[in-house]
Amino acid sequence: MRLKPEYLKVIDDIKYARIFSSTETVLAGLRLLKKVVDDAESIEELSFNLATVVPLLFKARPTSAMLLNSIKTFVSEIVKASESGDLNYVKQHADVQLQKIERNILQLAELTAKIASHRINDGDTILTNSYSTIVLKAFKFAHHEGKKFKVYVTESRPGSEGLVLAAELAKMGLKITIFVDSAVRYMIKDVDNVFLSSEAIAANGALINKVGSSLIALAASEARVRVFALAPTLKFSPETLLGELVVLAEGESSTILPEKLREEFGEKIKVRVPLFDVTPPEYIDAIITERGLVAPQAVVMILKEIYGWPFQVITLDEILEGLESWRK
Amino acid sequence: MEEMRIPIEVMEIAEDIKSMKIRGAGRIARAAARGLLIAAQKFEGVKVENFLEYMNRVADVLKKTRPTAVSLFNAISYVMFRMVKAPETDVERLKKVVIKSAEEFIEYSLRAVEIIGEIGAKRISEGDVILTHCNSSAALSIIKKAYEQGKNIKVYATETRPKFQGHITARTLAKAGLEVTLIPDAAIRLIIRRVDKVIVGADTVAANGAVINKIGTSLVALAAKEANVNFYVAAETYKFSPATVIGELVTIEERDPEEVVPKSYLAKYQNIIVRNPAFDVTPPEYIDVIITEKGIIPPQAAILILEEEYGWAIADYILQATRAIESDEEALLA
Repeated sequence: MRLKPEYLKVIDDIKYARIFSSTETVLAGLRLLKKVVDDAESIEELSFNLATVVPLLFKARPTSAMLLNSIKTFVSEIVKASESGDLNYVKQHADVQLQKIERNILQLAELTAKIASHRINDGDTILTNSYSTIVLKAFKFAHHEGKKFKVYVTESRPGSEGLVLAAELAKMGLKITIFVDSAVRYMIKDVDNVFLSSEAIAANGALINKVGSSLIALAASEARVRVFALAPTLKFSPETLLGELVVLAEGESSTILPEKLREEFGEKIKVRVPLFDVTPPEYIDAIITERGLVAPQAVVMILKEIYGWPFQVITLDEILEGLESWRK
Repeated sequence: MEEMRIPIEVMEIAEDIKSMKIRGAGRIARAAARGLLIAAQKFEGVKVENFLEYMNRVADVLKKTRPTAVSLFNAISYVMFRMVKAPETDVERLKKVVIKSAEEFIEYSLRAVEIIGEIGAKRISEGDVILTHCNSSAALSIIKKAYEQGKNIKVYATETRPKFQGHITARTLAKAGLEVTLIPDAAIRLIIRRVDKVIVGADTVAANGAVINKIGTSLVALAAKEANVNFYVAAETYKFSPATVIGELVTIEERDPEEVVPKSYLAKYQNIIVRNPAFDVTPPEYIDVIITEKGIIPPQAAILILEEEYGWAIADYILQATRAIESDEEALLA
């Protein structure tokens, strides 16, 4: 059985980071899974398609802890519902679960943004990069509270999502300054706080985020400027507790290699287009979650609260095995 | 007076430097020397005082094209100093002094890049992975020389926003046969772990050994320091700034916002401004060595190069400063 092209398109969009914001990416992934469930004509087909699409979806964005956490919750629920043997019930349950997960994601984002907005003071200059729904919301809250502050946004190559974020903030009426990624050390002297979004938080408190984030944090640390990572606990990666390394995805080479150079030199000029990098915990002053601020070194405390002691982490493969019984 | 008019060829050179048609510290310096040379050739008067005044005007026009480019200033000083100090008393002989000094400077500057290549290549080992930022002829001279010597080396080139000079670097090195990998500037800290040595050029070297170079250089240096990767600067001695010895700051030029975003974007979002600094300052403590055509020096020894090569220019500054103070005092007393 072959997968529908529309499924593959969503997976490709996620893989090459064509969807801005990690939150939006997760929501797109979940909607894809919902579609897979809705399209199925039997529970066998549903199980088969889900068991095929889920690993592809995960591999499209292996860095995203929130994607993996959400997929795991969703698939576990489907596995549970499938036991009824009633396709309609499964579809209904999928719908309810999806709404629940979505609502949860958005609520946590709001709460995190609200708490983060408390760290913005009158007269501050805040530096951020890339495009993040949560960072955007934090600025929105502070702006609505009447705080007067300036925002610096780096261009954020490859992808240049910074320009999109700057445009949205400008529409809200904020004063924005943009500059190229390499100007960070030059500009950091004017900055009071750095706000970074997050793709994932590892067990040691390291932040995985858009490439360039670690460079900003390094420059901030040198200039003694505070760095905050905005990350609802859904973005904490329990897998890293078990020693898993986070895989850093690469983007399309065409985003930085001009066609002319490729034609003229072929393999002689190579490109690396990393989409993410890792910021070590020592460069992060605090991680802002929906539960409040935590030191990066205290991330394990929160993971313990969620996953118990000793940690009980069910892997995606284990969950997918639950679909096996229906695959003939 | 017709004979005092600056020739059109010289004005064209000035215009090309200003519009960045001629760019890169070395090329600017040579173009300025050529400008003085042409100006001397074209002078038709007979009075020495007129010639000196005419040459001073030419020098001023050339200096004003890129007021922050120290190589331009040094090239002009090199020629003008020899003219002023020459014992000759007729215009024809003075012209020859200017022409000879300008030719000397041009040849010297071209040779300097080559010598830097030879000296710097000794610091490159078999199997090295090198990272370079922007497009520097002196830095590339080292890399190419090491490759010609049969060393198996690989190069990472940052794309270098906003003007993508990294593409020129990639092209030059690929043509020379090297394996090059282009990376976005934001990936520097991620990639630096795979790098053995960083080699960059310089726009200006200040008296304390700080290096003013393409925006992002100081960020590369910081990341290299953190990762314990060697950081080398390749710089001809005419990039050392005598003015910084007497406390002048190096002005960082901010360029057109449209280099970063399209005009339409700025027109659409009135609340957005673009900062586009062309250079940044790398502190000496992040630099392992500066490779010049006179030899390899630690950055803190920049003053040695300045004393040896531009002692006269520094003395001249101090003389002028002393005179200024004296005339102030006289004004007070009067």
